[in-house]
Amino acid sequence: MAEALRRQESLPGFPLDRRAFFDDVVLDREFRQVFKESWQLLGFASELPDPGDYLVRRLGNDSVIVARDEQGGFSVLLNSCSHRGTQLCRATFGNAAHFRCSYHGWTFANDGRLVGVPSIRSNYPKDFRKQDHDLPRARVTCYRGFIFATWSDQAPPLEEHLGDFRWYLDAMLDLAGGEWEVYGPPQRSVMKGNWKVVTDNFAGDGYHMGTTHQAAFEQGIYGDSLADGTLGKGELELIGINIGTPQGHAVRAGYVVQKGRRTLPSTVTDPAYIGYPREVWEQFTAAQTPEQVRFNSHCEVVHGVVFPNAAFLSVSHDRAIGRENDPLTKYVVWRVHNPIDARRTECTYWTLVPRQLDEDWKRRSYAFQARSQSAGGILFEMDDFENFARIDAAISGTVADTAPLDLSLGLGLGTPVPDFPGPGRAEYLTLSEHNQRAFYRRWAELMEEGTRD
Amino acid sequence: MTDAAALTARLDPTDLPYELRPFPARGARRTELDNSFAAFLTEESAALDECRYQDWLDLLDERFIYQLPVPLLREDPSLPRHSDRALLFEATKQVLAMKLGRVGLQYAWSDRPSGVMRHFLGAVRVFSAAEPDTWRVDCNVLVTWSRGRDEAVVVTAGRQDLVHCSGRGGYRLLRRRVLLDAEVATHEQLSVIF
Repeated sequence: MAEALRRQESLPGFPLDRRAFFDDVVLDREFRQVFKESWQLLGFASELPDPGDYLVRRLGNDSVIVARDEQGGFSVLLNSCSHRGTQLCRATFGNAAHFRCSYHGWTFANDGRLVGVPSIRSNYPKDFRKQDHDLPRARVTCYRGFIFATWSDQAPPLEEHLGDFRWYLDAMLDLAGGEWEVYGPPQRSVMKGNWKVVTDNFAGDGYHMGTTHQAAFEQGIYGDSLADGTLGKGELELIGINIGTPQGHAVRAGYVVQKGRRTLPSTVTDPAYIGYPREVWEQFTAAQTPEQVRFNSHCEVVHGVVFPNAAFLSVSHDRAIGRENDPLTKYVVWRVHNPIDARRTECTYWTLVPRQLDEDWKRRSYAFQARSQSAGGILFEMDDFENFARIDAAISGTVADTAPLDLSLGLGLGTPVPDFPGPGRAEYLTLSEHNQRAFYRRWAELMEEGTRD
Repeated sequence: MTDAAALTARLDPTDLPYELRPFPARGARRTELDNSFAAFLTEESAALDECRYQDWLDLLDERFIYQLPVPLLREDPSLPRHSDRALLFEATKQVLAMKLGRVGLQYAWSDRPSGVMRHFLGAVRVFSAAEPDTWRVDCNVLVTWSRGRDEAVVVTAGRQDLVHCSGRGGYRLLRRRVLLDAEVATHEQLSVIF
């Protein structure tokens, strides 16, 4: 299958084999070659404030325990007893210094060391050594509160994996003083469809907005969000910029500009942070580098992907889905899309809020995410789920399977953004599958490894 | 003191919109009211099931807030099974009116074709509530939703309502909190209105 994708890439139109979206044989290979070899987002440090706090998450197709130890560090441990494979933690989160297996009582410290084996002196061979049976530990790196892990010994350090994307992550976090926290436990849901379908949608699919979300726009769920109404909606439009990296990561940023402009201004004299209180704009500007200000100012929407399966979105709503006096308020949601099988995906949603803003703002930001784009977001998210399920319903027939999918939107049509403040190749093209192509190029590279001889 | 506690302490709770107030605790059990509230909720569900959406919206107070807290799977059964902070979904009356108004829009994909929804209510129990002329009404709900060959959903939940009743027979929903039984629901289960 990966071979087929590589062959077809030389054809016009960047076709993709449909088998990638419904075949469990492909998913098996993805688990071994894409997920196991990549860093994956597991959660956030603010979810584990105290020593002993733990969460149960998925790393590829393995259940793992993410635990904060007594020294404040994080361990990511296989959630399966070294004795007979029993799941150690059945709850999704809690606080424990030790994990005791429910079957025969083997007990592990929250850093993965096997510390207790019933009847060890009387009934185990003399050469049985507990330290040979510790829980497998994944490599873990906490970058600015984002907990990433990988099972791979060969994967480069996280910072290298993030590559150019790291600059964009820093810029998005530094926008609001750098300190963010997760608002409450994450939302989770199960959707129909392959994990890549929902993920590539976040990478750069501005194209679906006008069709998939036509009803949401007709109902005006974004209210006056375009530039806070300060310049008058009729005078403004959105310019989309795409950045796809060799590691498969993607950023798509939409900027508000005066109608008729085709390019971003090269300097920002009056920074505006759409969806954040005006009182903090000056403070926000002071906390950023001039390049970060240029990236964040007048940015109405930004979304993207951290390869392979994390995605993010930042956008604003106002009284259209709130109360009468609710101001335009931004929300930032990070998501992970974990395959359950080739045709079902578990989505986890974390809403991040800047620590420095008050509780009223945080609650409103969270409410706007919960009302529009949460797992139960009936005005917006459901139309995406509907389309992902419609893909799944029709993609796998005998004839359907023979027709490749197309990812050629904008191919060769984007133009470089001169002096763009961030690294990587940023290109202008509001509607383009540039970022999806970067995502699938990286995916194909990993899937093809070991098949080239 | 947490930010949330500080916010709550700063204001008289009755000045806050319902979404920021704690959900009202159960007061005294009022068995003599069970039948009349059950009759109200039966008609209310029928309005949804029969797609009489304006009839249903007319039963909501302007301050109405609808919330699905995030279910929590914890080790200790004595701890709450749902978050008091995180929500799978929240809606005002206006948001629900937009949702129900989608059936009139040609490109509301997830509502066209529409599915068939049915509410099955069990064991309606009425309790006193602190606010004047309001009652807390708890019941179990089983909701089904079906569309086409492959889409059939069954979802169970505990439902907690705060209902205003002036005594002249007019009932209005002030709050609805839906406590899902499943820890992780499917997108179809989350697309129903409980």
